[in-house]
Amino acid sequence: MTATRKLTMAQAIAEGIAQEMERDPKVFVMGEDIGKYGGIFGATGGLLDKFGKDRIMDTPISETAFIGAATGAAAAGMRPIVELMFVDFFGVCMDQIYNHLAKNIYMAGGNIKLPVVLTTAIGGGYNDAAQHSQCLYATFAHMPGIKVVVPSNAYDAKGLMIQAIRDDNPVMFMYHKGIMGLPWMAYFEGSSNDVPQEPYTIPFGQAKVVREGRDVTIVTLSQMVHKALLAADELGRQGVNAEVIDLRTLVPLDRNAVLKSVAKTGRLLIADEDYMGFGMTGEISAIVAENLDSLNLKAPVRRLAVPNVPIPYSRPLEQFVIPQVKGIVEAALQLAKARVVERLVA
Amino acid sequence: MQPTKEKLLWMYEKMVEIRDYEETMANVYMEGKLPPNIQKGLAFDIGSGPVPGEMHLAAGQEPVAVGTCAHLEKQDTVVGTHRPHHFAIAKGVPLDKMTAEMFGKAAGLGKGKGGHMHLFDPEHKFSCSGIIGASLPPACGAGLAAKKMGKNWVAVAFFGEGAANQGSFHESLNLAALWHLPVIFICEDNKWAISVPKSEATSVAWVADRASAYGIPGIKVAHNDALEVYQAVGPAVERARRGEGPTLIEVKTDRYLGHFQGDPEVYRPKDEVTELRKADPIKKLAADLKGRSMMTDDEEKAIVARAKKRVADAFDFARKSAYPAAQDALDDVFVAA
Amino acid sequence: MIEITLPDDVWQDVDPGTEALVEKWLVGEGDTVRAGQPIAEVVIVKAHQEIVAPADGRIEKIQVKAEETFGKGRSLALLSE
Repeated sequence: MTATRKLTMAQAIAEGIAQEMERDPKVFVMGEDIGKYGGIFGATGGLLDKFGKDRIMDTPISETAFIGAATGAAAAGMRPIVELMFVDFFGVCMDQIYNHLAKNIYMAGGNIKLPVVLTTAIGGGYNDAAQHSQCLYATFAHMPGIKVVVPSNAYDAKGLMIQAIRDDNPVMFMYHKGIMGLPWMAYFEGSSNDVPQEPYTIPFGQAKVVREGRDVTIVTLSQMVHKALLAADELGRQGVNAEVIDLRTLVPLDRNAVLKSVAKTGRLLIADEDYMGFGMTGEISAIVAENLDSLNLKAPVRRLAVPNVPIPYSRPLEQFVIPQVKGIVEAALQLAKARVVERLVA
Repeated sequence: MQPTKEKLLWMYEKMVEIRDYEETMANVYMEGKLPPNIQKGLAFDIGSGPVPGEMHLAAGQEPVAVGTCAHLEKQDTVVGTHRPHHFAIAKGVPLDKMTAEMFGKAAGLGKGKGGHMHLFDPEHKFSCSGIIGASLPPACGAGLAAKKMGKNWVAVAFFGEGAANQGSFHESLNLAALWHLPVIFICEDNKWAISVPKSEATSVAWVADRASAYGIPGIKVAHNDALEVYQAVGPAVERARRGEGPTLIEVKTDRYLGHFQGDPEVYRPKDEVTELRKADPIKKLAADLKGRSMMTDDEEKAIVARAKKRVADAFDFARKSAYPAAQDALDDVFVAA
Repeated sequence: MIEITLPDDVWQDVDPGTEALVEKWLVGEGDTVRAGQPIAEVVIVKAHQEIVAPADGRIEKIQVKAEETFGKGRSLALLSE
């Protein structure tokens, strides 16, 4: 019987990193304010005291240099974990990420390993405006060569982090600020949960059915999982039994979990905090559309995501653009009542 | 280069206004964010209250703003950072619209869409951004435009010492030098990049020493003093207006409050701020002015009262202003083609 | 019986009326503790503070549970020597 205790997602991530650092001396961490500060969102809390400055390295504000350095160090045999403070800052270092870290293994014909874990904070809902509130996992998932991991809770976060560190490929580990369990940000219940003391892994490409249901499938990830679960409770009270799928990773993507659920329910709602256009919701919709020969949709696919506008600062505006529990409930209710109508176009 | 009495009094009044603004905002920001009236299980709720989100205040850094903007006209451009209020105020950005923006109201500079890190005032040619190092390239652009339009306007980019390690800093200095752009690069060294001190992030003691690598003058202002800043910026502005190209100026300044409001500053020695406040540049300038018989006690009181009233009126305006309609979130991605 | 509180000097820069949050208890009722032993983690605004046992003894009662907030001077737990 393994000991578990309730941890916040931040603590779970830090614990996963610590346990791998204890096991493997080649693992080290670089990033801004990850040392004494413990990471702006707590992902490296306590690590400086445990491992010292040589392995927990605060960097200057030089993302291109230190993320590129992570690539180089990985190529030379180390296993770096490097933090991009906010995913929104990717602009200042994207070349190193998408042209090098993501492509070098392929261009080398699979003859090199690049075991880099790129951690980063995503998400809004607390009025941090356009340059500090984005999710952008679809942007990274769209470009080949980097795995994209987006945990929704502490238990998953630790297992996925250890998996990421042991993976010889580049992994982007994206944690939503609103579910880190920080004592200074409003939260949805559920992201802090029981985490086993000992190390464990969770394979990539395995979505989780976090709530079983028969009437409608809600596909989602990250903080939106918790909003979807609250919505599912309300839907249950209104006689609609929702199944909620937590994708957990976008690259690799568990297409089968989505298809299996939609085959069962026939109704698909995709809820996403990233931008609607050309994103995750479109990808899931396309996968379903490609498989209409083997499953029946009872209603058109419905997508809820942030419209293609920069995230606004003002509270009523931000609440409007980011999908909320109420919006998920309404969309699912409409789906439950909708029907696919066949139309003949002359 | 000696400022006139009018200029000195302007600088003093602006510093008083900025300090009062920042200290008022420090308190208003905390409204609604602390227990017991927030979600259970939280010690602080960043998304609550009339001014939600992050807040970065420049109390202590007033001399850099006033010493610089004392040389600027309305047509000169200032591009800044996530800690922008001191420069915004010194540049003449209207307090009411600026404050309304930070309260997320429709009457704000950006109709509530930008927030405190993204203040845009095209009339006063002021803008700022939350990405470190992002202020330098647009300042180069403003300088480039001035040249192409045959104007003697200048552009100022202000940034922290942390930004001097970001790629855009190096590219911008080279570009401005190469094209002789009328830009003044102002580095505010407040010694801290969130929790990382300059000594642990920057390979040289003075960012200003990097200027020579780009073939431009690098000026060091060793004290957080409005007059010293004024005397350093003046010649740089004149050089730029004469078409002689850019200058990099570094000012040793002091950040009195945390990196952001609510910052526990565990990384900072406990008494550092108390010590810094003993050398308050505003008090120093007041003493200088009175010592030189340029300001009486009564005049000082009147200046302070005026400045505080402007600040109080701005916050009042912001509180009373209406929020935008939710649907407005979808507008203004593009302007009419 | 000793009342365990968050020391007054920590509350210095905080507005009156503001409360702090108990994040986690490191010991339970009935546990024996040594002077100086960390017994709880609290957060005030955004600063984490450790509460240590003021003397050797036994934790008789925990008065403010984890995830609850408390004001200045409030007794968080009782320690018998």
